[in-house]
Amino acid sequence: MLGPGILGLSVVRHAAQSRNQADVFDNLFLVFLVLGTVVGVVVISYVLYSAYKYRVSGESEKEGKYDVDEDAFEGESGGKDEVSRPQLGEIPSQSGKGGGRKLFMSFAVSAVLVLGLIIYAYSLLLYVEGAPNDFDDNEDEDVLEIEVTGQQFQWKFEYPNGESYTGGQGDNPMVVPADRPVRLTVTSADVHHNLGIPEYRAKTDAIPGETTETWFIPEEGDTSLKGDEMLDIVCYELCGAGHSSMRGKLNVTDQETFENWYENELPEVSG
Amino acid sequence: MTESADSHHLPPKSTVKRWLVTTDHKDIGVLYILTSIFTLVLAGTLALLIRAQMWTSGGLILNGLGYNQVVSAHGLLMVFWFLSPFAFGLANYFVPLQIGADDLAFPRLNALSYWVYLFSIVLFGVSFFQGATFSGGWTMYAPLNVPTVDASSVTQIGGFAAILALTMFVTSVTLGSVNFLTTIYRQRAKGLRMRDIPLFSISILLTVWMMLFAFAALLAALVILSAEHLIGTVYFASDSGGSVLWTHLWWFFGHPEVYIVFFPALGLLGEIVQTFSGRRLVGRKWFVIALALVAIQSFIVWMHHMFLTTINLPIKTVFMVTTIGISLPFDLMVFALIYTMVKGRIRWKTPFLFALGALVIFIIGGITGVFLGAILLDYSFRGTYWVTAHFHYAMASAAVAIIGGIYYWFPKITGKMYNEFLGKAHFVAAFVGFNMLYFPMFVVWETPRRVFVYDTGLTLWHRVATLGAAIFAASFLLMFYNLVKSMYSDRDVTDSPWAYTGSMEWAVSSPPPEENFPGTPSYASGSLEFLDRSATDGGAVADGDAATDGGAVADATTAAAQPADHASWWPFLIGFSTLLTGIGLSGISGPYFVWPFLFTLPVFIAYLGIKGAQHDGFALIHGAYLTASFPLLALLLVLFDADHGFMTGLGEASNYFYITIVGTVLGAMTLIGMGYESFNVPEPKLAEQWPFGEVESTKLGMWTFIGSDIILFGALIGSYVFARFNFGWHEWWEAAEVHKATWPGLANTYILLASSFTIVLALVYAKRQDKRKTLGFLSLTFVGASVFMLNKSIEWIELFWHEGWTFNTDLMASTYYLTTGMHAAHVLVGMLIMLFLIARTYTGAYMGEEESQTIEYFGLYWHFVDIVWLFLFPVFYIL
Repeated sequence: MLGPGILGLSVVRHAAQSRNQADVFDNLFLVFLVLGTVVGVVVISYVLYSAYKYRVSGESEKEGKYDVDEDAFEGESGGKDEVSRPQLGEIPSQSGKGGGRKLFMSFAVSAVLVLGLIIYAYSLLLYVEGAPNDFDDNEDEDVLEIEVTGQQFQWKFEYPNGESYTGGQGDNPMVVPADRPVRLTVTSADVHHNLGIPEYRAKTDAIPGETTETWFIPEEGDTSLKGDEMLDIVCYELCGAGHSSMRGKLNVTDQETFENWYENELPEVSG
Repeated sequence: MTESADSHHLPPKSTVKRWLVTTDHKDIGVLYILTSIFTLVLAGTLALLIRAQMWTSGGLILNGLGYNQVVSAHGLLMVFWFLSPFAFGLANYFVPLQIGADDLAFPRLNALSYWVYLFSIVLFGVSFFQGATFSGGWTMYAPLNVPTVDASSVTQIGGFAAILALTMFVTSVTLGSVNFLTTIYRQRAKGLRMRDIPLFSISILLTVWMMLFAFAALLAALVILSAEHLIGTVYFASDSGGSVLWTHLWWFFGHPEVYIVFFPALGLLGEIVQTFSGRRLVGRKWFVIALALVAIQSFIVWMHHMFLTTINLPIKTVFMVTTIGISLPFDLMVFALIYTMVKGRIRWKTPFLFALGALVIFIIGGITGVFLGAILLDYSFRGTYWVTAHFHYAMASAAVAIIGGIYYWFPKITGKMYNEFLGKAHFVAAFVGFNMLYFPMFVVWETPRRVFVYDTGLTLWHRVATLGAAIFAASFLLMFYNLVKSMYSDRDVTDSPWAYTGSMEWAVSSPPPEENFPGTPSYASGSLEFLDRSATDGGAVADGDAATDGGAVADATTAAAQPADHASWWPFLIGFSTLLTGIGLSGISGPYFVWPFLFTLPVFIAYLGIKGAQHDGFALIHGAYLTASFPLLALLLVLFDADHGFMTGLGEASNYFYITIVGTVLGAMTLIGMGYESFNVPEPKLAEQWPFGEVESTKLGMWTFIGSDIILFGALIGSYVFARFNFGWHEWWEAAEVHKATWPGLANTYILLASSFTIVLALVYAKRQDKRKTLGFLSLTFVGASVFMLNKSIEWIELFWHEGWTFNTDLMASTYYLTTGMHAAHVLVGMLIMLFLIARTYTGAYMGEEESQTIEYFGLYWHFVDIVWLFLFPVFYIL
């Protein structure tokens, strides 16, 4: 258990330094994946080992019986006294003798493991949930606020200057500058959608009559900077016949390109 | 009695009739198993279509709407129509055998559960051919599920038919829950305390408790959804939280549902691991306590399905804690199963292999579930294949365990042993196929769920999954071949073909005799004995719900030693009538919706007169009913003429309208038929009945039914409160486009309270055998109910026509009409039952301490209806 523990610790330290949801997610996911795999492999191996080790064979001679003969084991070591065997006609509430301490030890270990993981995960959640407020408190951060409305089967983007346009399959992407926090305020004009930008692990429901929020910090050096390689904005809630093709695009540009677009081209798209 | 006694005897198993009329729990168990396997094949074929579509990004065979239909129908059929009924097939067969009951407490109700279940599948099947079936996913998120939003007419009729099919299924489940609860509490063998009953039966007990409440909440959601389709209410399409309201209602049901499908499998794992390890379950007491904790806690975790909606951080935190909390008892149960194997004498027979496979699969499902409990991970997993993979590991492990149960009990049901080699081959193919199908989904978890467009880099893994699906599906052919072939083999088995069995079903012959046991089972001496039946046989009580069993109760006193009945046509016929009604309602247009039900009223009254005269001999009351039905019919025709114009109305009505009428009329007649049927179910004198020793079975059944009805109304009132809070509590009525007076509600409160009093007086005089006064107070109660309904009608007519405040005017109108309308429907049902009681009392039934119980049971229902009004009145008239 030492190996994964150290790995977990280093990951924790790394996670605390990163600002973006995607990094927080990646690290948290890794911790869960490593521990989950270790626990899974250990438990399942033990199950299979036990099932193999304690197997017995032989068939009863009795007519109509298709199993071992109980009587054949009488007097054998590990017989009656050590553990209790079910007997036909007994009151079924009787428990197997022994094993109780082992049972509670395993339970306690698993509980501690799960609780520890969850408390750790919760502390990261508090950071992600609190980040938008930190942006507001921090004067240096100039948050870009975009209102997004889901509608069958595209997204409508409204920028702070009041200009808006809808973007569907590849055309009219949402445009954001790198390294500036983006806050999305999301709602829906018709049915329940869910907006997700997998690259940045930003995701929130788009619900008619309600608004929800999510945020991300687009990073410079993303492949999306280069022309057509734009990021996906995916709908994650079944919203009708066109759900499978409800993909918007996200274009991350440098600051200058964005400002140029925002001042000059945005009104054209929205027109 | 007008029916010959032998009409209730079972025809031989080789006849078709046997399977249509049987009320024997073993027969019905077999029917459930076969029907649910049919659903498995149907829903499994749909799954293969999904996997074929996913062969390449962008899809191979289906368009968007087609794919959504397949995905939705696959989910709905597997979760509702396959998993639970599959387990309840075994429960039907083995719970009575495990606890020492001759049958379920209400055999005809059990048959009715089955037939409503079967016909709900038929209705779902029909929906595919009505343009398109439901296509909004198995979670049916709002407002995509309402017709005003999803306006494409192609999906509407079929989509609504699927919703109605689900409503029928919920009805079937509720009847089943009432039945199992009553049976397990009232009919255990002497000496078998609640904590002593075998693991499988305990898991079923906790399952039906969850079902009773969870499915009532689902029923409320479906009632509202049906109202959106039929009369155009505006709950879910409203901007005042309509969409979120649906998610609350759905997941309040939906999370317990996860345990509802999984619990029977856990019970089975306990049984199988115990038997094939040759060791009693380690920590059995803690295993049972863990189960009970989960059952309770399952009702306070639902919002973890809504982490990305508008719920705030403190609520998220609470639900994260309850969610993680509920995973811990499962750890304990898994460890208990594992440690039972240690030092066991393990035989790798097919049932054990399936149990082992289910355990391994469940461990993976459980660990990946903990990932989802971390809210931050859940955000990113939401709507992806991680969720799909996780819940398939969890839910399909239930299916795998139940398949183990089928192999385990196959020799008991058929008396023949299956082929061991083919069984093992099935396991290997299924286990490999299963993991090939679902494990790649973890790898490609970034694929959005219910979407057939994905990153082309993931293609290889999706193809592996598709191949796995084919192997998994094909493995079942081995099972079908094996089991069918084995039934005709010469591998006869003894009472217990397995070593180290413990519970009672292994102490009777294989297959068990029609009467279940060679004598009355008892554990009073500390181990199982079968006592001489003649010494222990009790009197007889009737089956049927409280309102309709009057006839049999009266007969029971004169025929105490009469053998139990096992055959009735009525459950089948009632089930068929619900199918017709469901098909009709799916396509009926709003203005016509209420008329089939109204036209059924005179038929009900007339048929009550006819059947009553047949059963009890003609009396004045029967003539009065017949006579009264004609002016009522005439009145309804006049009203119909005013509403639609008689000839134009009938001319313009669609076929759906006429199918609905046939369905409702048949329903009314068959319900009366069952009410008047003499059906004898002996209740054992020698039984362990704690904690309900003093409560008769029918009364306990009535109480549990009321328990589920409380949740139904609770969910309806809760929906109203939720909508009003979202809208603004104080602005609510000011914003309504109506001025609603308080006095009609107040007057109705007094009327209903008075009618509660008169029904008590009717009971008092029935106990004193005063027929005249009983009749008088029953009639007075009926009159009170009539005045209530009249008052209500005047109020509604005023609001609806004169003020123009229709169902869809605003949210206030929708909530008001639907909630008080559901209550009015309960009053109306009560009135129809009272007509039956009055006719029976007139011909001399229900007199005396014992016989008057039927009136008491009805009184319970009637008081409940009154109490509901005591909540509705302040909520809708004062606040």
